[in-house]
Amino acid sequence: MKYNVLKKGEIAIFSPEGELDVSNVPELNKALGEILKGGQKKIIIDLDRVSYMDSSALGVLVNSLKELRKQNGILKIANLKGNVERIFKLTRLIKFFETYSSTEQAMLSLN
Amino acid sequence: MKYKGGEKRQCESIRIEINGNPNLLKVLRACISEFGLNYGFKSNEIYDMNLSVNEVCANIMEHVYHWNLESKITVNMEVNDKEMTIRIRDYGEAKNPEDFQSRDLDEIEASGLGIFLVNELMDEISYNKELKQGNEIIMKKYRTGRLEELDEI
Repeated sequence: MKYNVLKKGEIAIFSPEGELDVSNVPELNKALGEILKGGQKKIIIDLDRVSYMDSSALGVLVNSLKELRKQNGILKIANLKGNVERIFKLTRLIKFFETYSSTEQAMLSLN
Repeated sequence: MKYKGGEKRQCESIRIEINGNPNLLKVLRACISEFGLNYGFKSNEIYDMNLSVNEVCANIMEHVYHWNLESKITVNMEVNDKEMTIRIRDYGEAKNPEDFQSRDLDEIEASGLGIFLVNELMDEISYNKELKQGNEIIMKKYRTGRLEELDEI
């Protein structure tokens, strides 16, 4: 799984790429876990380059959101679109996540 | 019924066999995409079929085969002018479909979304209850596109 992590102070922007399914859940868990361990409590997940997500990948985001809430942290999602957005709406996960049309908008909301 | 290439056919089918390696799900999805595109399904319909097959196979890999790679899943797809029928067969311990129910979506939980998605995204779901070993789910996706549009390809 390809991904990029950009850290700006206490904010981390995590940008995975491609198709996220059960085969790359361990990597997804590890990458987000390392951000949390690194002390970043404000995370933006940028889904701009994600073309596909299955329920196990959605589950990783849910667990990360729950973990961050326990630590009084914040998780926001940017660039939710297309069929991935449709799945967020269908599963009603959309109401649990704060979503933004761009990473810049998500950043502004944190500052 | 005209498909890409203009040839008239009543029904076409394809059978794919994979082992229980989750890395193969991406390959399986690529096959479904090609098959669906070739027979005129819309991109969102193909996405729905891809995600549903993915969820069922991932459930089999985890709950029937317990991630054992020495296992076999057979996916059979058949298309006609009305719908795509997808049969997914495993050869492990028989499961009661009622054991896999979707959950209350008003709670924020990481698990239980797969079955919900399959139920939402496919138009018909049934189970073959006459098997002596293993499980088979039969799912249908209705065609909403107009076949005539393919004449222009």
